[in-house]
Amino acid sequence: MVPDINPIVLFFASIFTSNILLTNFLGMCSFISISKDLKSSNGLGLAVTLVMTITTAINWIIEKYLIIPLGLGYLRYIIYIIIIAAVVQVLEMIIDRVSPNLYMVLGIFLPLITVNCAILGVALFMQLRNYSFIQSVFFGLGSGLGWWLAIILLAAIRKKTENAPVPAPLKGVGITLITIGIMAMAFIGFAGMIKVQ
Amino acid sequence: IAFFRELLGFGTIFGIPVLPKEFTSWTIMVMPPSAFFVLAIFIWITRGMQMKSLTTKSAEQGTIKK
Repeated sequence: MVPDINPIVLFFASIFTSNILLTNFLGMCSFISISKDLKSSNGLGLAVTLVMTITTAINWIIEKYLIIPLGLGYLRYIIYIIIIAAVVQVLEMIIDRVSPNLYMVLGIFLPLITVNCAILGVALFMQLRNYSFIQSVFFGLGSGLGWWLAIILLAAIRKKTENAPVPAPLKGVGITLITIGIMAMAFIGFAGMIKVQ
Repeated sequence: IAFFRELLGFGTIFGIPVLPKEFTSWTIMVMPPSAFFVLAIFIWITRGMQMKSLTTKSAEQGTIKK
């Protein structure tokens, strides 16, 4: 039942070949808005990676020892979301304490990590594909790092195209969407390289 | 967006084939990145029209004030 994939291979697959952002297109809204600035993209990428790894691990434990034995499959989404919301709440308090500058720059997008569909998506993928605990941790960590990589790539490209001769109606959001489309096409080149399920 | 993607990618609208059979379908329109391109083109057209109406309005007001 548990797929026979080496966790390290799964780690690299979730960063490059099935990147949660550019291959599965989950977690796009804060991706487009925060990638204006490289520093805040870095902070948001770190926050999402932390939340993804911690919540995937906790959700695996909850799935194995609470949902399956007690037959609570119909409550799965509520329980996963509660775990994610709790972790994001704690993370928000920590960021407010450690780096108030980052807290102010991220603004509304820090609490919006709760409903970032990448995080619930990774938890549900983990549950659907029946990964083991080690596989889940590496999958969550890899997906988070893949999200982080994609957002800093986009932030760097946006910085360079700021001074490029873009037609006036396309400036800002338009050229960002085209850049994301081209990045997604580039990642299609990785399709089928590594089996993830 | 779905209208253009289906029309150019499959040649159908709501499942009814409208384009002639000789039309080579644009496979890129069936793949996910095309949604970004079509949305960016919509933004281009809409903002272009908005900007043009703004500049003609300010040009008219400018000549009237003179």
